[in-house]
Amino acid sequence: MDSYIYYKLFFVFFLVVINSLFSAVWFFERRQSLLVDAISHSVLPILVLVYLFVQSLSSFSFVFFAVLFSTLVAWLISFLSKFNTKHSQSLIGVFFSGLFALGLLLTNVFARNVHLDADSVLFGALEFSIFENIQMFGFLMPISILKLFFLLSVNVICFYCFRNLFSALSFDQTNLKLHGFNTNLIDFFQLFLLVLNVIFCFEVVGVILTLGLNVIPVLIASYFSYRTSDLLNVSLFVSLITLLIASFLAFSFNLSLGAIFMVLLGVVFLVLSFFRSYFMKL
Amino acid sequence: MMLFITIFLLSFALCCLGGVFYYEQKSLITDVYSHVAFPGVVLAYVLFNSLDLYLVLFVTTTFVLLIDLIKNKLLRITKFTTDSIFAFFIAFGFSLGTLLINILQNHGVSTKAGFSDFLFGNISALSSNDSVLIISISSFILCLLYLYRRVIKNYLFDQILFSQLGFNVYFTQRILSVCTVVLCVLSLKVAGVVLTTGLFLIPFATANLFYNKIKHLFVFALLLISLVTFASIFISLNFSGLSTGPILIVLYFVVYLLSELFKFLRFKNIYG
Amino acid sequence: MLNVTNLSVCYTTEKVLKDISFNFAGGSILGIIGPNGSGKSTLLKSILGLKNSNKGSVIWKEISPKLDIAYVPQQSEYDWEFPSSVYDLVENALITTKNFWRFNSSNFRVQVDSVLKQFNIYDLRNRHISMLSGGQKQRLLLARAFVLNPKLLILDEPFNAIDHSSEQNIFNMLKEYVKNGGTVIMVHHNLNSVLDYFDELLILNKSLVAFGTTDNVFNKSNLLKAYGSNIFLDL
Repeated sequence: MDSYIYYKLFFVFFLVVINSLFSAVWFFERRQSLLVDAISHSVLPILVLVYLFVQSLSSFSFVFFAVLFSTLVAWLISFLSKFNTKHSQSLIGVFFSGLFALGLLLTNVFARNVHLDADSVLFGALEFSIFENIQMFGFLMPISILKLFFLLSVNVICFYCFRNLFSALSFDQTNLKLHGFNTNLIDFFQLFLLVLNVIFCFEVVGVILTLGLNVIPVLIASYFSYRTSDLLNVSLFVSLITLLIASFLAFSFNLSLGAIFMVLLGVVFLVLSFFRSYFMKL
Repeated sequence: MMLFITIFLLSFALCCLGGVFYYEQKSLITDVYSHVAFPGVVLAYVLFNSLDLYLVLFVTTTFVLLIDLIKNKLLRITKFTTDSIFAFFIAFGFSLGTLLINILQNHGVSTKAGFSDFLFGNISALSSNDSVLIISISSFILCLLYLYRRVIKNYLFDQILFSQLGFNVYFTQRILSVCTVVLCVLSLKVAGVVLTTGLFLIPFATANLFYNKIKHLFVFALLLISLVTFASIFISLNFSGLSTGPILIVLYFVVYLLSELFKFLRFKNIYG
Repeated sequence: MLNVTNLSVCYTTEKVLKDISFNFAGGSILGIIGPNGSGKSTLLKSILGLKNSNKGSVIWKEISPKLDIAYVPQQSEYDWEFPSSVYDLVENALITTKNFWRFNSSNFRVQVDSVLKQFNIYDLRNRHISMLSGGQKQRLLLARAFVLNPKLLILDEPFNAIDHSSEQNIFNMLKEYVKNGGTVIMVHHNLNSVLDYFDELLILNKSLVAFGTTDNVFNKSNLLKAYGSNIFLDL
């Protein structure tokens, strides 16, 4: 048995967490936290259909088409929400439940023997993410780590190049349009980045944990700062500390790392919220 | 026949409550309730060592209502949008449920099949007792909603005037929450944790595309629900490997998409 | 500066603006008044190209709509819980198509600081935008507009929910801006201050009721045409 298995699991999960934080900050600024829910649930039928077409779960073309069609679905939901801002939650609920149900049916019919069943979609496959390896510098490196490193580099470059542009898009689209920006294109590009993050992460941690990773750390960070770069730094710090504690508990007591990490983050958020409100009253 | 009546009444009651939350602009509260119900189901097993629907209903409803109180408190004391708070509880509730199942499995308890019925829905696992429970509660809630329809309409439109007229806003909110949570838990066995929201939202959202008068809206919803329920039972009986819950939601969704397309083609200028 | 000819805008089957034509030379403060639903905000958005018109033309002379105009929508259109400080929001307004991918904050510090001082919100630069009063929020929005050094400022109801002294302060800044060569087009609601604020006036009620200098246009008959019989003003 690989003696580095726990380190690999920790490292994969850590990379998933860091990548999610980039998209978390954008979703927080857009005030569309539940769009993550919509995207992560809507992805299932797209993955099944793309798999039927490409016949592989790990090829580049699978990822490319999955991201492309998921972005189109996300953009459609976002587009329809603009004309019905008061009932955008209803729209999200309709789309994600409809598409997820479609995905479940398609999985049952066409992809029973593939790792796209409802269990792995909901709960993720962290344990399986380290089994596909590649030889690099004398080490057996899981392919998932390489994929997540690639995603991280994309996230870092886009964050530092487009951070102000995305913030301006979230706050004041009208003036951005006036100054000659194609806001629809920027919106689509931002959604593309968000979907890319969601798909890479949900393969490892599942639908619901993807939502949690894209929401909870930033909510905690917003208690300490409100600037975009600070939100990222603080949520990274909080996530790292929580992950260390969660890993210790998960590996010691044989528990799901993702679940315990999310529960610990949730407890931190609840304690901070009530603690803060109590001290503000004083 | 029993199955048809069960699903029909449950779906109609869910649709009515879905409409209430649609107008409150908090549609995804139903998703919060269904995801938070998941650890409630596990808790019911831990306490009573049984997944009997009566016991699950009692324990899970209590648990979800407690979480609902915490959620309302959070909404009052923080500046976060309802989106963020809902997303938090959806993720937290589901993770808590997963963790509890993990702990049970580590203690040698094999419950996969039992919990899967609530996670993904399994209409074939509905006993006649379960059906009786669902039919009676759905009918009771439908009667309640019908009797108090004018009060609810007032509450939805203007809560300030509603309280000035002598009604208790908090009490009304609690009653509506209790009804929603109870129906949510019952529908877990039909559609599962993730798809329950679809039963709440899609029929009403579809009817809302055609009508804006309440009477016409609910008549349309009634017809839609009866047709889709019949079709989904027919399909799942004749095609093995297809469970009724997802078929129900997919059929509703297809009707919704066609209706949205019809509205788009008819009123292209709105989308300018 | 601005030539509008037979501008018409429809929403589905309803005409919101009908055959609007006027020629505005610039260099002054133009007020746009009219009852609710008369198409004031729609007119602003149409002349900026943010709304497609069904008929007519909008021609800008000696001014580029993309570079020389700053538009300030109503305060209620913004999310004031957005995670940003006052300074960051004003600095963000300097993003253009030429610099967005290598936006370097230090280059703009002097420009942003001077605008913040001009609008008396320099002391609030590190404050979260949700912690500002109504008047401070409006000054922040104006600072975002002024940091671009626009030739034309278009404002949609800038004095909504603002107290009288803040309104006076803001108006004095606008007057100073026009004195220095700028132009202001403003949608306004309070008829009592029209004569004091505006050099030229456009009265709208889905169609053009009147356009010209305020003294000529702001009279009982035009107000009756625009607002109907229930207007009480001592003119």
